[in-house]
Amino acid sequence: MIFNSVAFLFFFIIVFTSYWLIPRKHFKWQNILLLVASYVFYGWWDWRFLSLIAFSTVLDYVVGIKIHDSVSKKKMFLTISLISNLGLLCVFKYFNFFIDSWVNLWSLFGYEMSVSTLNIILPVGISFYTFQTMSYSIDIYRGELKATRNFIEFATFVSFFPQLVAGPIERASNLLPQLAGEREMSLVRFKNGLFQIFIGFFRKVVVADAIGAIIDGIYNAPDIHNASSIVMAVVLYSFQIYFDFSGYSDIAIGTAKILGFDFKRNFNLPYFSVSITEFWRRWHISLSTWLRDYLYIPLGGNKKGIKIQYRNLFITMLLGGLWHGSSWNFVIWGAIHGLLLSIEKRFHLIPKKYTLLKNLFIFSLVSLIWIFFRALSFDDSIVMFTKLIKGPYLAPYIGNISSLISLIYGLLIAFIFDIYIFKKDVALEEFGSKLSKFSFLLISTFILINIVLFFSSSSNFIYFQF
Amino acid sequence: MKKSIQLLLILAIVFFVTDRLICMCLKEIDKKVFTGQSVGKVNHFFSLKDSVNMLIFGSSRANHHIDNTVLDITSFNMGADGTRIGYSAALISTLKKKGQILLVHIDHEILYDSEYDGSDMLSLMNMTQRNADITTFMYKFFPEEIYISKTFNCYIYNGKVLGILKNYVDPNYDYNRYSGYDPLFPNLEQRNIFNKMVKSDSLKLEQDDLAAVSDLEVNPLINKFIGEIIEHCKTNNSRLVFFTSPKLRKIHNNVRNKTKQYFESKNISYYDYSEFFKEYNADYWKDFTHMSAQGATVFTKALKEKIFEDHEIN
Repeated sequence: MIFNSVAFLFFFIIVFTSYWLIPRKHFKWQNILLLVASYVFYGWWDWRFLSLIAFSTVLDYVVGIKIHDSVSKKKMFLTISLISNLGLLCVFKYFNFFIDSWVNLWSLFGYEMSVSTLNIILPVGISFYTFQTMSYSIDIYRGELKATRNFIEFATFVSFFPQLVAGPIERASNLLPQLAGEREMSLVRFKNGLFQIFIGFFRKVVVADAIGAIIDGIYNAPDIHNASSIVMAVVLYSFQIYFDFSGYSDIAIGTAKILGFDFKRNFNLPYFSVSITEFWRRWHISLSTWLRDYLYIPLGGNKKGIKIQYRNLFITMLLGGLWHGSSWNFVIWGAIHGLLLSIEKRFHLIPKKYTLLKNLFIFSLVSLIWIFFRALSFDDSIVMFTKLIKGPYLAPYIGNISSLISLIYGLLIAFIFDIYIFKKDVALEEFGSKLSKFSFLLISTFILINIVLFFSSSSNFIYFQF
Repeated sequence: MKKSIQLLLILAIVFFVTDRLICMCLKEIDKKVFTGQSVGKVNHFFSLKDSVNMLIFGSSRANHHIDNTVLDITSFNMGADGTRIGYSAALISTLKKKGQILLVHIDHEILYDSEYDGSDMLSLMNMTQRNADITTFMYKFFPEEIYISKTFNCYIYNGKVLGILKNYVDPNYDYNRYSGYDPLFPNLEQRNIFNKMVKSDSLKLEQDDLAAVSDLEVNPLINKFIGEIIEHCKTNNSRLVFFTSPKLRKIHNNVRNKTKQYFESKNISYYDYSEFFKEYNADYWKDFTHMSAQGATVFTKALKEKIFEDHEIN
C-alpha cells in the first residue's frame, strides 16, 4: 500500500479511529492493532515478503535477549544478527549485482564466464527495516539499550507502518520506550501531525510527481537531448528527489505523530546548505546518523588521525551510496560525496555563515552529483556531463506545456514555503501548532484544494526501490 | 482529543464548502472556454458535434494526421494528445445526429495492449457534471471516479485549472476558424534530434515492435469500447470507419492481417495506412509516430479519396 492511494486513505481512517477508540491505558491492545495494521499495510504489496520481516523480527528479538543476558557470547550473537540481516540484504538486493560485477571483472582479463543471475524481486523496505533491527542488536551489544522482553512491542517497532517501507530509520532507543507506554493526543500534536501530512502530500503528489512526468523522458534518453534540456532535467531532479523523499518522510512523521509517536526529523531544508558537510546534516538525517554511529565511528571516526578520518569518511559514503542500490552509479555517487567531505575537512571549507552564493554553489554541486544517482547507466551519466560541457545550449525540450506550467506553480509554492520556514527558523514538525486556528484552517484548506486540483497520477516513492 | 476531533470536523466543513465554491466558479469559467486541448476543444466539440457531417476521433496521431480542411465536408477533428479508444468511445456515446461519418483512429499496438485500462477517458471528468451521457458512460467503467468526484468536486478539474484560466483570459486561437486539426511543424532542433534518432535506430525501422502474433489478443476492454461505438453508430445510422494512419516503424504483416480480420469479423470498415509511405522522407515526419503537416496533407488526400469512393460522396 502506498500513502498516495485511496486504499491508504480508508486504511488510515479505520486504523486511526479504532486505535483511539481503545482506551489509552490499554496501550498493549493499541500495539497489537498497530502490528496487525502494519502487516496488512505491507502485505497489500506482496504478502509473501511478510515472512522476511517476521524472520528479521524473531531473529533480532531472540538475539537481542541473548546478547543482553550473555556474558561471554555477546559477540557471537551480535555476529549472528549482523550476518543474518546483511545476508538478507545481500541475497535480495545485491546478489545479481555481485555476480554481474564478478563476471565483468573477469571479462576485463579476457575470461568470459557464463554465470546466470537470478530473477529476484527486491522486497520493498528491506534496506530500512534491516538497518533498524541491526541497530537494535548493536545498541544492546554496546550496552546502550536493554533488550525488550515484549515481543509485540518489538515486532511493532520493526514493522510500524508509517516508516516501514522508506524510513525514517527509527532507533529502538527512540521508538521502543514510546511503545512501552501510554500515548497522548493533544491539540498541539494533532495540528503538527496533520499539517505535516498535508505538506508531505503536497510535496509528493503536486511537485515531485509532476517533475517526474517532465524529466523522465530526458533521463531515459540523454543522448538525443541538448544541453539546455539536460540542465533543466538535472535541476528539476534535485527538486524531485527532495520533495519526493521529504514528502514521504513528512507523511510518515505526521502519521506517527497523530497516533501518538514522535519520530526523529529526517530532512531539514538540505538545499539551504553552504557545504557538503552541512548538506549531509540536513539530508536523510536518519540514514546519515545511522552511518555515522554504526560505521564511521566504529571505523575510528576522527579519533585516529586526519588521514584515517578521510579514509573513514570515504568508506562511509561509499557504502552509503551502495546502500541506495545495487549499481556502480550509486557507488560513484557515494564516493564523490565522500571525497568532497574529505576535501572540505582538509581545506577547512565549511563556512560558518549562510550566504546565497555559497548556497547556490552547493546546490549546483549536489545537483550535478545527482546525475550519477538518477541516470540509467554510467554511460548515460557521461553523456550528460559531456553535453553539459560541450553544449549546444539551444531551446530545451518541453513536452506538455500545461504540465510544465502546473509544475512551476506547485514548485513555486513549495519553494516559497521552504524559504519561509528557513528564514523563520521553524521546524516543519512544529509548524502546525504555531498557527492560529484560523490560519491553520485557511492554509490547510489551501493545500488540500491544491492537492485535489494539481496532483499528478499516483506513482511510487523514489526511495521504495532502495 | 475532543478538541482535535472538533478541529478536524471544522476543517472538513471548511474544505468541502471551499471545494464546492471553487468548483462552481470553475464550472462557470469552463463553459466559456472554447480553446486549448484540455477543456476548450471538448467544449468546441460539444457545440458542433450534432451539426457536422464527419467527425474524427483518436489520439494525437488522429489529431495531427487528418487535415480535415481538405476533406470538402463539414467536419471536426476530435483527436487529442494522450487519449485512446476509451476517450473516443465516451465522446461518441454523446452523439445524437443521424447519418454522420465517424473516423476512429486505432493503432495495432494499442488494440493488443493488455495493460490498457481505459483511464484516458478520465480526462473528460469535467464534463460529468454537465453531460449525462458522459456520466453514464464513465460510470460503467469507472464508478469509483464518479464517487470521488462527487465527494471532492474540484477533482473534475484536476490538472486543468491553469489551462482553463489561461484560455479564458487569453484564448489560444479563434475557435470559429478551428477545424480540430493541429498540424505539426518541427523546428530545426526537433528535426536534428529526430534525424539522430533515425540514424541510431535505423535497424528498428524494419522491425516489428509486437510480440509473437499467436499470443496477441485484443484487449477485452478495447473490444468492449469498440462494441459500444458500433452499437451507437447503428442506433444513429452513422457510417463508421476505423483506420490506422502512417507510422515509420513497420508492423509485422501477420499483426496487420490479424487486425484486419478482427474488424472484418465485426463487419466494420478498417483502413490500414500504417505503411502508406513506402520510403522514408524526412520532410514528412516529426518523430517515429507523428507526421509533419506536409506528411499529413499527403496522407489526408489519399484518405479522402478512399472515403469518398467507399461512401459514394461527391
